[in-house]
Amino acid sequence: MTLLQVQHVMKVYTTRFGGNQVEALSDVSFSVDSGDYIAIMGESGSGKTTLLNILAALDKPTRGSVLLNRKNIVQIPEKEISAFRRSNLGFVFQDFNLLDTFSIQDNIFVPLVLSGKKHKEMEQKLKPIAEKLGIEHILTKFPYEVSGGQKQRAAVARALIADPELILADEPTGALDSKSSDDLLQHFDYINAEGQTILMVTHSIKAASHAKRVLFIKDGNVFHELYKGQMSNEEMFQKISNTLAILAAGEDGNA
Amino acid sequence: MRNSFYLKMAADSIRKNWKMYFPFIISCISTIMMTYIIQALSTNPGLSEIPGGENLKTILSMGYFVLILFSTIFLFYMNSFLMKNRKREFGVYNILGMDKKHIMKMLAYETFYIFVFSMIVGLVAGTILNKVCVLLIRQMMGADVALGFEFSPEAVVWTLSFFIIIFLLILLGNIYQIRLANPIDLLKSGNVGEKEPKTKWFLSILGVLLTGWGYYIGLTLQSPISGMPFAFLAAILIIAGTYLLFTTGSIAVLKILKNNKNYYYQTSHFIPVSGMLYRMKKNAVGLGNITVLSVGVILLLSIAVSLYIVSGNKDGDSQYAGNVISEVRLSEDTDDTGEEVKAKLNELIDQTASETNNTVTGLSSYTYLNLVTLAADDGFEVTKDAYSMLAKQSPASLYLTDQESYNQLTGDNISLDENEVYVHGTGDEYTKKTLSLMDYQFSVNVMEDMEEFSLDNETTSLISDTYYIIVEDIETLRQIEKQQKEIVEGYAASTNVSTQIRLEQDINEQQEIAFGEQLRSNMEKEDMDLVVVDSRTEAASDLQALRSGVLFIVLNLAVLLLLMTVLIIYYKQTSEAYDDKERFSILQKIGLNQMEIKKAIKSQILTVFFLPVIVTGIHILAIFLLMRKLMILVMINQVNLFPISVLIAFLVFLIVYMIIYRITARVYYKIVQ
Repeated sequence: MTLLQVQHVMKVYTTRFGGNQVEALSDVSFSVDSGDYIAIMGESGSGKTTLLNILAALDKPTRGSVLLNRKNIVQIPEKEISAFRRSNLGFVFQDFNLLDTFSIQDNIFVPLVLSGKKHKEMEQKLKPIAEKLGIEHILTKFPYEVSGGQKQRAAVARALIADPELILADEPTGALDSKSSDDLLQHFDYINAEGQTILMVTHSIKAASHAKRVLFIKDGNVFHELYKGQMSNEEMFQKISNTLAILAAGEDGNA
Repeated sequence: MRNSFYLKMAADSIRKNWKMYFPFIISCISTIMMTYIIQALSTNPGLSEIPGGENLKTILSMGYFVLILFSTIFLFYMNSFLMKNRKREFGVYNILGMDKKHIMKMLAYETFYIFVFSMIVGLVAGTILNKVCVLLIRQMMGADVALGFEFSPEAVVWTLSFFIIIFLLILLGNIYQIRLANPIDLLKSGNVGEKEPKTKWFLSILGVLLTGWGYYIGLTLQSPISGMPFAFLAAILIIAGTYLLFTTGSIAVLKILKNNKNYYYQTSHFIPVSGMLYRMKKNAVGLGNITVLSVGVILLLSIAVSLYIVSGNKDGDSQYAGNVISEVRLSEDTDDTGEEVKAKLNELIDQTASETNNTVTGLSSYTYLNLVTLAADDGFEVTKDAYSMLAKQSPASLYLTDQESYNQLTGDNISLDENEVYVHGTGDEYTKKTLSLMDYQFSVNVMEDMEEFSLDNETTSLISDTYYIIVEDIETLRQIEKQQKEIVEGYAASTNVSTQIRLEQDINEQQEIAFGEQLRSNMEKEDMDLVVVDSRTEAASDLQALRSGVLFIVLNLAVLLLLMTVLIIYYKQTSEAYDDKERFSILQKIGLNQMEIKKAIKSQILTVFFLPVIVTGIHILAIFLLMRKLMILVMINQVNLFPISVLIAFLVFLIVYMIIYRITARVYYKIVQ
């Protein structure tokens, strides 16, 4: 079943005095099925952050539509957008974005509190997720008391707690050491295996090699697509490397 | 590197940090301005020409030291905010290769610039305001208003030297801080992860107890003048209690709220409660400061308003029935009945009248003895304890006279038997049948309509219990004096002859003062044991000078404290806004909309703002009675107007506070978004 449909999305930024126009995305179309695990790769400035912001409803495209469960999120009025994001999307950021004022547990509760859920219900939801991510023992600690890997797992728990349709991850391994990265990607694999749809933007070939499908973006267009199929992570890693090499070479050829 | 480079760099850095420097410069200018004005007034030659002007100048120069002290503390406090925000900048310079020596040099130039700038602006503004103040004071004291330019080089020199010292101290303090820190510390300062505070039950309860004890003293202290140490104790207890309550009590309350899961996990409580709890450690001292300062501002303002109300009515008149009064001490010899002294005095008064071309229209004199005692079961006890500051019991003041004096003074014709007295209490009447006073045992007749002959009755009777007693004859009075001398020795009171002289109705102030002065010198020539010679005009001017001097200083201090409060709030809100900026941007990313953010910010700011005001209000209520008793000294019989003064002061404060709230709330929103 198709969960997310991105259709001919275009985004043009206008500089402050209306002089220059910069095209961040020219024409992006793709779709994500329920239970998919997608990685989006691209150089800095290729437009992947813009794309993620549009998918997260933080930004509106100049043209085109984004359908989540056949509902066009571009047309959701400003007043409802926050509630929509809380209940349908889960976010994992590169720099964790945990609040120092809350304990790990309260950080995970934030989306539920904002949606006005009862405390009992929150506790019930937290338990299985915390177990799955192995953070039960740090729930009462504060973000500045735990390691980067633990912080990111807490952030994943926060993204999962409201049962979102889609998890959007922005360079989730960007601030982690290799061991913590492996650990986090392992958890992403488990979560995806349980049917959670994940869309991840990343620079890391290793992170991307865990995904079922990799989209390459260049100059605001989807340049190439790779399916993992039955490949192992190592084989996928090799394939992504080659594709990136071709991408870079193509650039040189053009120059 | 050359010096011109530092000069330029220092100027640049002030310009770039203008947002932070601006409040600091404002504080510098205003403190310089205020100290200059007070100093210039206390040396103003024109003021000594007005009656009472000398008194005013003395009071002003005393207030000057208080002001200097406050200014120093205030500027150091403001500077600490400034430095906290700038350490990171110094860290970057340090890492980029600037030596600490160079940073200090730059800092020294910055301080120099600010000093010069604030000095010039402060002195110019001070000179202008000084003129306005002189005019105001002259008008208040009823002197001619003279226009013209006034500039006090002496005050400039003093202000300059004091502030050079203050600025040097601040600079040294800053240099010391930079010397100690390494660049990484400098870079990191400002965002140190703070641990969630623990509930300290013991200290919270201690805070409640201390505040309660302070309140108890404030509400029950009978005589704040003789019990001054207790009044101070109450003030210290309340201040200490306030800080404890804000630092530990607030955390305890927030923790209780947090532990109530159904309350805490609601959108409108979740963010503010956690935010306040997280920041309380830093926040609490700030809130305590604001509260203590606010109480100070309101008290000072209410004193100022009271003084203003009182100085409107010239009630110095009401104290003196005559134009001139004199008091003479009788000799040690107990056989001296004062007849000789009275006769001599009458002679001198006639002589003075002819010397000054005045006519005496009325003359009344009486003999009296004023004792400070403690009330006992069967009368009054004369003891040294009555003079002790720490006396548990408030003293009772006795005014004794003989029946002959009383009859002469009032025209009544009372006659007492031996060991019989007439008694009248200004508060409660004396209810017992007998009255024992040292060796004497009197039988008592209560006389409710007795003339209250003492001059200073209005003040003292409100502060302590006062009784008027008429004894049979002057010999008894002298015997009582003698016995009392043996008990209290150095504190002993003497029997005085008090004389009130009425002059012609249309006499002017100068003539009245001239008569008083002539009488004084005549009496001194005759070697009389003079207690006081005073004219109504002098007394009124002295009182007026006292009031306008106190009013002026009090108003100055109130403005300074208010300014401190405002700037502390401003710095606090802006520095917190920068802290919160990141927090709210994260919340927005995970699904909090603008409206919810605004709501959360609002409830947080409201608490920070109005918690101190509420505590201030409660403090004021608790110490109101104490203040009222103290204000009797200044307002005398108009003390019933004191509640109105407090109310006006509170309203003025509240209006200023609301304006600050509006401004800082706007600044806060702007930074956070």
